[in-house]
Amino acid sequence: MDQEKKNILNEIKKSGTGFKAPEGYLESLEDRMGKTFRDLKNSEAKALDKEIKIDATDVFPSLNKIDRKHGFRVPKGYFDQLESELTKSKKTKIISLNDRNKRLFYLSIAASILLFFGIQYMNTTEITSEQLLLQDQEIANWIEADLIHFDSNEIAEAFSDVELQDAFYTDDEVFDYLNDIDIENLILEN
Amino acid sequence: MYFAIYRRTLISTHKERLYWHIRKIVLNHEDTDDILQNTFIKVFKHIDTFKGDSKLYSWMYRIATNESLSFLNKKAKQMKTDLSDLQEQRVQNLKADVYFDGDEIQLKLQEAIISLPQKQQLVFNMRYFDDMKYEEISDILDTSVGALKASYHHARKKIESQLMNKE
Repeated sequence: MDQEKKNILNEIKKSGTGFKAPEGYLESLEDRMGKTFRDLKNSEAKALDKEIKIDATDVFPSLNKIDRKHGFRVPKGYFDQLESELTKSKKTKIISLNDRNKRLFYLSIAASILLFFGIQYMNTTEITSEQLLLQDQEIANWIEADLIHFDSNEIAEAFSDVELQDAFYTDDEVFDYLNDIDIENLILEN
Repeated sequence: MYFAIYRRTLISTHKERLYWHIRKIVLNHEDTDDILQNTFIKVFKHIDTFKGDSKLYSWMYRIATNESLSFLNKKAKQMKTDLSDLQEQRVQNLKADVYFDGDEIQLKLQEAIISLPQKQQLVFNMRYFDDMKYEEISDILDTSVGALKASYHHARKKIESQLMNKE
């Protein structure tokens, strides 16, 4: 009896559902749908043009045949190493006052204080004029080597106690200077 | 430009299966055409919300199923009738439908199908006509494979018994 019942459904299945679609209906669906989409309002069309986040293999079944390998490689253990490197650099060192570093910490403070007062006590000699001259010479060298730049305001500020008259060369000094230098070289240099 | 090509390809790939899936629920071609177009419009409108946790075609099938059932419920409401009466009426309309060339036994089969609860109708159609795997049906209907197997077994039993009685 059961076998007989099963045969009914199996027989019906062989002849299909009986439903038909109009001729050419499915073939032309893409074109008609294309028109439907064109007729949609702009706002809706924009929504349709959003970035597609889907698995392309669902749309293009032939892609299933392609092995999903892109060919790029990374050095062995790169990601593990990268992770530990990143973690390491982010860790802040915690100084514990309860371990053996405690003694070292206090010792270093004491040493710093002693060193500070010691230097103050021992270094009582004043800077000699010779040392000052040397420093001036050094500064002059730097200016000549174009390592330091001053503008006119800075110069005026530095020589605020000098009379303007004294700051100028005398006519004789200018003539002597011009006689001594090679004008041609001066022009070329500037 | 690329989206238009993508859209066209997606329609070409899935149109046939979706068409027949909808057609077996709503029975006539005109309504199927409307629902199929609405399905594709919804698919492209909400494709950015597709999470990828199921296959794209399962997601599209789900949309098509929901659209078809909503359509029938809406129609029943409009006609102030219940869903089973509406379906009964639609099966009777098949006799005069130019796009239905089934013989008497196929018509009886449709009558038997619509006598089933809604979910059993879906499971029976997908399994019996489309030979879909239970796993695929499970994805679409969000029902466990075990429950689907039981559902199909009951559906098949009821249909067979109805067909035998009518003969």
